[in-house]
Amino acid sequence: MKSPKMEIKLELVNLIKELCSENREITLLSLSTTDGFNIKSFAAKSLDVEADKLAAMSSSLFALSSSSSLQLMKEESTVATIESKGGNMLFKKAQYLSTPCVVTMVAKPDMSLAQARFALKRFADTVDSIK
Amino acid sequence: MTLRTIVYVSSAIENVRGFRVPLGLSKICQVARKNNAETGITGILTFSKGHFLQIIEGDNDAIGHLFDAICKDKRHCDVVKILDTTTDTRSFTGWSMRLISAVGREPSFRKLMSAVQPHLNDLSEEKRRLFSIFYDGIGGAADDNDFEGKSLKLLAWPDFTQIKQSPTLIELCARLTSGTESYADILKSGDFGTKAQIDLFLRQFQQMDILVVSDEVIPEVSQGGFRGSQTFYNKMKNFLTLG
Amino acid sequence: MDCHKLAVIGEVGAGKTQLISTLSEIKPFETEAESSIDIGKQYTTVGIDYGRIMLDEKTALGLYGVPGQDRYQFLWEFVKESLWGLVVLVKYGDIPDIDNFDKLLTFFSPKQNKTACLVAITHCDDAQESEVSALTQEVQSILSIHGVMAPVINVDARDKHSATTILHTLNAINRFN
Repeated sequence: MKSPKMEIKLELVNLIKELCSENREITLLSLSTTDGFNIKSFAAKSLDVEADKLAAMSSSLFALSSSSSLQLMKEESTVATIESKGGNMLFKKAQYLSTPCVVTMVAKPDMSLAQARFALKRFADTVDSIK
Repeated sequence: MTLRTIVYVSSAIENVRGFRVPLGLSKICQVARKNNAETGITGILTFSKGHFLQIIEGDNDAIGHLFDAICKDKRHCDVVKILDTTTDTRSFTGWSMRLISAVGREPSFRKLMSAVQPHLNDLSEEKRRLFSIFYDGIGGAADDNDFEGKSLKLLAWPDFTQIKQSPTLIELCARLTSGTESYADILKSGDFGTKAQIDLFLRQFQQMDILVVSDEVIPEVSQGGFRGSQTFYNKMKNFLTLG
Repeated sequence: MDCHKLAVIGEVGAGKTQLISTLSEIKPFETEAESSIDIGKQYTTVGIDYGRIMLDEKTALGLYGVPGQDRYQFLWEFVKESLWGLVVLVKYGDIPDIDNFDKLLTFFSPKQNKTACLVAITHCDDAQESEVSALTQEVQSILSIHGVMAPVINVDARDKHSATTILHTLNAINRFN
């Protein structure tokens, strides 16, 4: 299978490590291209996820939410959220080394949605600034 | 000029869960055509039941080089030379490599086979077995063109590069691939054109080796052979007709 | 409402979005993303493309385009149940990804589920007839592993008349299936 040759910068790896160690409620954090290829991801051992399937899922869900948002609200979606008793899952667009990407975050319910959104936004902004 | 002709059979490599699929066949033909046109080689290629049969003809050295390269090609294995002989005329003039689906029905192939018949009689048991995947040696049995009182069945959908796709043809294929049907029912239904049109389609199927004609007695079908949802079928047909 | 489902599935760049847009009577709901690899075009489908054809006020055919790569299997799940037809698009010029094709046929099992199925070869504009014929044989031999007897037809996804052939063929198969 073809996949993009994407440079994994140390900054990105450290950024993921930092965020996940500071917030133990985050059980999954991943950066993938909007067309569904994994770039770098972290997942708690308790989660059984395959990186390529997670990337595919993230790209689909983000594309569906963006397309719905454009049709119904005439604006691009900024964050897509899935809530469940087991926690929240959030998706946000980012730009990594000029490639359009999706950041996916899963957090346990003890991290509030507001906290999760804040952490996600800060993470995406920092990814954007990586040169 | 004396020409060298090699006939060989090989196996496609096992590429899907132990099955042999002729992967990249279109690329193989494309490259062969280009190269053979440069070296003056002509021939045919066919695939059946996991095996390739290829015939190459041309200048002695050119054929020797090509056959060496063929034996080393990783896209197939177990290359068995069936015939290596000389002829005075080409059998496949103008075909730098033609892919044929029903080789036993190809007149130029049949002509070559009758010319080399003595060699074929001398084949070892193993070679004979391999070759029979493609050619039963009889090959001359005339098709029965009179379908009256017969039952019909298609073994596969036709190759639509060989027969023109049309709504009537598609309906006929759908019916004959779903099971054995009597010729009388096909004619009577009125869905598949006139008798002359139907007969023409059937003869073309025979040329492709996909039609089975038998004496099996099929009970008369009701409702035009419908097995699926007639309402949805009619609505869709209506939609398609109105465009 | 009597709604039937048609799934269009195929490899990257085979023409799923185009086919649905050609056939649909409504403006399709599309989920394309900018491609990060060279696939010969800028955008690729990553979600479900949805279109619809109304046959009358109460009868519709929903058109669902889904990516063919097996990592998108969770989307195949969405469209799998009670299909009226399954269309697999194969792009001429690419050697079909045989393992993926095999997974797809295993997943949808058209023979066991009695789903009307066809394979449409796209991008045949500049193709030689004999090479399309060779690709047809390749595809047929993969289908035969799964015991699927299905037509392989050539389709120009941009052309309404050509795209409609797919509906006509599936309708004929369903009639006798």
